[in-house]
Formats: sequence, structure tokens, C-alpha cells
Amino acid sequence: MIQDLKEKPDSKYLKVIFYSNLIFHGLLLLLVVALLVLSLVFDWTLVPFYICIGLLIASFVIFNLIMPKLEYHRFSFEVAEDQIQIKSGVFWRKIVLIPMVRVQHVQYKTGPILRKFNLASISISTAASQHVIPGLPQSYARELKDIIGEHAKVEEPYEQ
Amino acid sequence: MNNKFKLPKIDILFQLITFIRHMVLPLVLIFINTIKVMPWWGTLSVIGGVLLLLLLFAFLGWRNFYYVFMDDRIIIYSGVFTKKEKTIYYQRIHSVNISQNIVHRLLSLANLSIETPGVGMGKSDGEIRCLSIDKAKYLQNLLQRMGEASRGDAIDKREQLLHSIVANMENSTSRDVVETLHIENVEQGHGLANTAQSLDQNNEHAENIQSAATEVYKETKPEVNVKLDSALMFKSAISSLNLNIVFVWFAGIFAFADDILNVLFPNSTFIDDFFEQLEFSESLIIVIIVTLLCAMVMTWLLSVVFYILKYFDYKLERKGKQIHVSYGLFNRQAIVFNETKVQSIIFEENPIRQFIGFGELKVNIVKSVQEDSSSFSTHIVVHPFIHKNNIASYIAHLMPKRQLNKHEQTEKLPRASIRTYLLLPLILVTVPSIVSAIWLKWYAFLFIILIAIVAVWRLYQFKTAAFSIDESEIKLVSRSISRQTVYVRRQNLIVLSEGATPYQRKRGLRKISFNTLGGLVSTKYVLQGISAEQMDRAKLWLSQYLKR
Repeated sequence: MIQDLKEKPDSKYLKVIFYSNLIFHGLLLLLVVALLVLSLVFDWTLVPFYICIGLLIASFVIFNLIMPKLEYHRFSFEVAEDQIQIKSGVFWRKIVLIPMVRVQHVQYKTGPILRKFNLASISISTAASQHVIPGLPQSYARELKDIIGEHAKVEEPYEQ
Repeated sequence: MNNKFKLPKIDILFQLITFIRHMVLPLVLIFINTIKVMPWWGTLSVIGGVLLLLLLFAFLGWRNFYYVFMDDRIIIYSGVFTKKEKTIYYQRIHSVNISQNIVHRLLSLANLSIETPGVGMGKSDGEIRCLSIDKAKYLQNLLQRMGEASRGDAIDKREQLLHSIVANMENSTSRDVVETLHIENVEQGHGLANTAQSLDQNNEHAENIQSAATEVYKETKPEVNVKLDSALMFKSAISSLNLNIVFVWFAGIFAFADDILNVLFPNSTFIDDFFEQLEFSESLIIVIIVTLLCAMVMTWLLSVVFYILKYFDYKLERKGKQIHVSYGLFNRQAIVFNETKVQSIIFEENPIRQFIGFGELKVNIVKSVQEDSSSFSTHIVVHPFIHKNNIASYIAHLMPKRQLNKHEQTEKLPRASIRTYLLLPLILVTVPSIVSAIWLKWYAFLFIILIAIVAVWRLYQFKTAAFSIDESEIKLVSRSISRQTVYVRRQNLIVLSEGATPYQRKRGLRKISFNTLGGLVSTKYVLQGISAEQMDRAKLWLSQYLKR
């Protein structure tokens, strides 16, 4: 069993995912309703509508009620002086180790829903990859951004 | 000093051809759709208009493209509507590459690309097109030297180099450049000192910075020199399995097979008849086997031809700190890189070569992927055919600063991970096989062969896989079809990842993967099914280095 790392996103982040997924599913629902209306007006078969509504409900249950909780539960991270560790994945679990000296830049991001809950995300870029730590309290995210930025400045040890 | 340069005018033509090549399909569509509703001259004028527009674009692209040499960087300006300004610091250059396609070769022109990490997908954006081949070679050399000079505090040297670049770029005839290229017999390393000495002794030259500058650049004798002579070429070509290219070729044939047969035998039904008359018999098995054998021989012959075309006139030279590699008959590539910019070393043995103990030695460097290259790999071959026992000494000779560690304790994978290798692929093959066997009856025996092949292949992969950490270097051995041994220094490792499926977690197994620079965005090396303990050691190994 892989141990959890020290830190986790804010628990309010679950609500953010819930609302953003809700909006997404709401838009899909509008499309499905449009399909229903068209089907009734033009007297088409209702089978596609049933399939779509079924898929929509399944998707809502899986991606809005079940997966976010599991993902949140499995996500943890740790920022140390020399490296950042991020653990994620529900079935295929993954740990990423990012040496501080490899960090090229850190980005502080926040969207409308995240802002509503006073949350923000940090994204860490290396020359080869990009990693996101989502849903941190805004003040902490800023602090973390500065901490990583400070550590990343360290002169690269050169081994020959 | 004017250090601003433009591309030669012929670039307009090359760009136009590139545009047309990308636009062929839309142009054909326009043609087909307009010919129905318009008279022929209407259609022609529409197409002519489009071509004129493309020409205008090519011209504007050429007019807005210029590059400037500064003492620590080169700036490339480009763009028609959105103007782009790309700054490349000499120090950041990982490799400088020259590529020529067949037309370039006929006109002795070349494209020069200056490679820096982090550019991303595909094409390099530090490309200077259609230089004369001599100028391209000259720049290729000097840009790398500028990088070295920027690293130290050799400001004088840098200035001299800059002068010499500008002086030579201004020479409109390439002949002068060629002459400067061939001043010989100055040993690298003493280069600058020698120049200084000769300057003191020779007052004629001392007054003239320009000529001094040109003297800095001299053709130095290569320290390491590998050439693919005909015997070695023959050996490596016949043992090469260029499977990917051959598969593409065959896929093309199969895609057109129907059309070709229709053209060759119009209105004939004998192929359908042939398949209808097929019955299971011993002679049919023989026919199948003979067909397969013929296909294999064809594949092999093709791979020999492709290999020869690709690596024709392969040359590797080490001059000072720079390693020069060039190869190719129709599409010629010339790559120059610094040994310290090597991200990883790869030794690849296909089954035939592995049997006789030979393999191909490659290095991964930061380089964009050429448009017409057959693979997306940025691995550069540094020896096409070398015995496995000679790798270490060869690397020591080629790249003294990047020697291989011994790796005396190379570990195999834990036995439990056999299942990681076997289980999923076998399920993926067996289930459809059983279903089709029930449907297609006698073909069942083919599926048994298929299952056996998959099982043997995966077992072979498991047996090959190995893992080792030796001081500052990690070594992974894995196999797709060819056995691939990767050596990566700790300092070149960017991100290390650990993965585990539910099954692997239960058995204490892990998947290790790490990224280095090079490749489309980066190059990822993966090994399935190492033990959790080995994984922890890898993590510890990385953090120890960071703590120092």
C-alpha cells in the first residue's frame, strides 16, 4: 500500500468539481431536451432520446457523484525543499517526483467557480511536462507558488 | 557592422512549393467543383488566383524573414500577419542540424535548424532555410563554437567568432567560405592560443581583425572518425530490421491492392473464384507457408534497401567538443552536437543482431523532428554496428565526459511480474480468437499460433527486462521487438514517475517511467513490473542527488 502524502487539496474543491460538472451536464441536458422536442415535432423514433438520456444519467452518476470523491481521496502532494511529489489516480495509481531544480515555472490559476470558493490551482511546468495541483485555498496557493519559485531558483548542481 | 541577413530569393520558390503541396487537396476540390458550373477558363482563373495568393504569401514570408547575430544570441524575425521574434542564446543551443532533400542537394542548398529545448511539437522554429550548403556548414560549426565561448568568459574569442560569422555571411560567393573552411592543420583546443601566437609572430595579420577572426575558424583534424565502409554497411544493412518503414510500405500496397487488381484484370472474377474454391488441404498450408516466406524475404530485402538509402555515406567525426554526424542519400542530414548535451545513450539490438552480439548505438539529443523523416525519434545513431563488448570503450573514446558506468549489478525483474507481462495481452488475444474460431471453424489453428506467438513474445520481453542503478546513472533494459538498453544520467532526468495497477499494487510491483529532454516534447522511458523495493531505490537515488 502506498502511503498518502502530507497535503491534500481543500475539501471545498469537491464542490467546485460538482458545480462545474453540473453546468456541463446541464448543457448536455439542454441538447437532449432539444432532441426530444425535435423528435416529438417531426414524429421521429424516440430510441435515440432514450439512449442519450440513459447515457447522460450514467455519466452524471459516475463522473459527478462517484469519481470526483475517489479522485479527491487518492490525490495528495508534498512540497519539500528539493522535490515535489504528486500522487494521483484511482485504479492506476501514480506518483510523480519533480526535482525542484527541474521546475521551469509555476503558474497560479483560478476560474470563476474556483474564485467563488476562494480557491486556486497551481500548475508546475518542467522542460518536459506539466503538473497541476488543483483546489488550494487562494492564500495558500500564492504562498506555495512563491515557495516553489524560491526553491526552483537554486543553482543547478552539475555532475560530471 | 551590418549583421542583419535575409534568406536567398529562391526560398520564395521553395515556400510556394510547400504551400502548394499542403493545398493540393483543396485545389483539386476547387477544380472538380468549379469545372461543372464554369467554363474552363473560369476554373483556371480561380486556380490561378489561389496560386497567385500563395505566391504573395511566400513573398511576404520571405520579405519579413531576417536574422541578426548579436554577441550572445541570434534573433530570427518572421511572420506575415503576426510577426514573430525568436531569440536563441548561443549557450542554450543543444544541436545545430542541416537537412537537405533531393532538390536541395541538386542545387547545393540546405536548411539549417538551431535546436533548443522546450519548443514542443514537431518543427523547429529556429530554422534558416535555403542557405548554400557551404554557408550552412560554416554556420553550423560557428554557432556551436559561439555556445562554448559564451559559456566561459572568452569575450575576445566570442567577438572574433562573431566577426568571422558576419564576414563570411557577407561573402556573396560561397567560394571564399570554402577556402576559409579548408585552412587546415591547427589542433583544436590550442585553437585560440595558436591564433594569438601566430598573430604576435605575424604582424601582417595582427592589424586586421577580420582576417584574425577568420583564422579562429579552422578545419580541425577529427579525433574520432567513424565511417560506414561498404563491408560494414553491408553487414549492418542485411542485419537491419527496419520493420516500421516496411509495415508502412506494405500497408500502402494492401490499401491499393484492390485497385491494382482491377486495373490489371478488369471484369475478371477469377480472384473471387479462387477464394471460393479454397478448401482446407495440406497443399493449402504449403501455399500459405510459401507465401509467408516470400513476404518475409521481400520485407527483408526492402529493409536492406531502406537502410542503405537512409544511412548512405554515414560519417561521424569528433572535433574538439563537438560531434558531427551526417548520413543519407536522397535526404541528407548533418547534425552537430556537444557531448555534454547528450540526454541518454541507447543501445538497440534487433533479434538478428542480438544473436551475433552486435547492435546500434544511439544518443538522444534535443532536436526537432524532420518533416519527411520516417520516425518520430530524436535518437541519433553514433555507431551503426558495434559489438556489445565494445560499447563502453567506444563511448569513452567518443565522449570522454559522458562515460558509461559499469552496472555490475544489473537486476532482473521479480518473478511475480511474469503475469504483468502475460495476463492482459493473452486475454486480449485469446477472447477474440475463441470467438472467431467458433465462427470460422477451421481457421482455429491459426489462432493457436497467434496465441503462442504472443505468449512467447511477452515472455521474451519479461526475460529481457532488467534494471540497474550505478552511482549517477540508471540503466533500463526493455524490449518491444528489439532489445533496448537505455543509460540515463541523474542530471538529465527531469521527472520520475511511479505507477501501479491494482494487480501490481497487490503483488508489490511498480511501473517506473522517467522523462528526459529530446523528442517531440520529451522522451519517456518506461519499464513495467519492477519490484516496489527497486522503485524505492530509484526514488531515493534521485533525492540523494538533490540533497547534496
